[in-house]
Amino acid sequence: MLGLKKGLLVALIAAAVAPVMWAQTNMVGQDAPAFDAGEFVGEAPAATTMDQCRGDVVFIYYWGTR
Amino acid sequence: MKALPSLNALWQTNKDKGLHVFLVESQGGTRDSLTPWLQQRKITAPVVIGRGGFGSYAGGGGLPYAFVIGPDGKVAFQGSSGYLGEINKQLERIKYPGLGKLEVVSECTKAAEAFAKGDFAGAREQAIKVKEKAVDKEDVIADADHIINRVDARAATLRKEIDDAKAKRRYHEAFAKLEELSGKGYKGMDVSTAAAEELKELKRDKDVGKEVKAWNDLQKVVDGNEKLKSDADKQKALNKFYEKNEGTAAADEAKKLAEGMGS
Repeated sequence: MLGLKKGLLVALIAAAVAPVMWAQTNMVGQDAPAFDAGEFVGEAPAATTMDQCRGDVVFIYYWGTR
Repeated sequence: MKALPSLNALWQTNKDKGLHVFLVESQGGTRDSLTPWLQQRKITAPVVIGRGGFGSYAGGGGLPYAFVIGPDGKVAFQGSSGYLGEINKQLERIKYPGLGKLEVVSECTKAAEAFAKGDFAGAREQAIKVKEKAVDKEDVIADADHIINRVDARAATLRKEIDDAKAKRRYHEAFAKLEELSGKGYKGMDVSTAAAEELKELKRDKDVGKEVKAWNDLQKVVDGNEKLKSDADKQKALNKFYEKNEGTAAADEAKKLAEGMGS
């Protein structure tokens, strides 16, 4: 019974931590994955994919209005 | 959100030096809700809605969160603070700003250097000469083609921006872009000669002149509004401008700005 509780606890902690671990995967030093920016509020810039931006510096910034 | 104006300024300063910025709104904003919000704050840097296109870039648990990719195609930074230093560091690595290539073969160095100095027509001419001489050298031809294509793409982007500005009757912006395209950077290219002629014609057009004056006057109203505290007073100034300039694109813009303040 104690073993079962311990197992459940471990599973719960793992489930809680998993998304955070996924979210914080360290990509520094790795080849930048491909992207295709998609929909823009205003006009789309000339380069919207990783291939088109290659050789330049790319800054991706997640933000919110709230 | 507070960082947006400074990031916008960073983009304005470095967009021609090889910096691509994607401001990804991640709280479900829509085009309708974000357009007035961004206009009021004069944010013109590219804003992306949703995160679909950046699925491989796992953000942190909170906002803001950023990634910097270097000119070598590798992720140089990820995190919520300290990205500005990394952007500048990566920009310093670019030998030929805007060219999209860290190195070129020695035969193309002169063309790349001309490009970096803003002599795009000169870079193109030089690259064509190199290409003509390098009959069997694939790497030389590839780099020369890259430079030629980059110049052409740059001119084509300017041309598209001019046409878009004209379609929206934003002639003040069209003038600035036409001056750039007809200026020394592109001198000698067909698109440049055509732009110079077009600029002359547009400047002779009285209707265009009226639109340009209205845009300049609207800018004065917007600048004056920055000194006003209440949104009601700002709306009043914009509505007054609208009534005086009705029929111009600037008046429509003033109306939109005033309506955006009420939402």
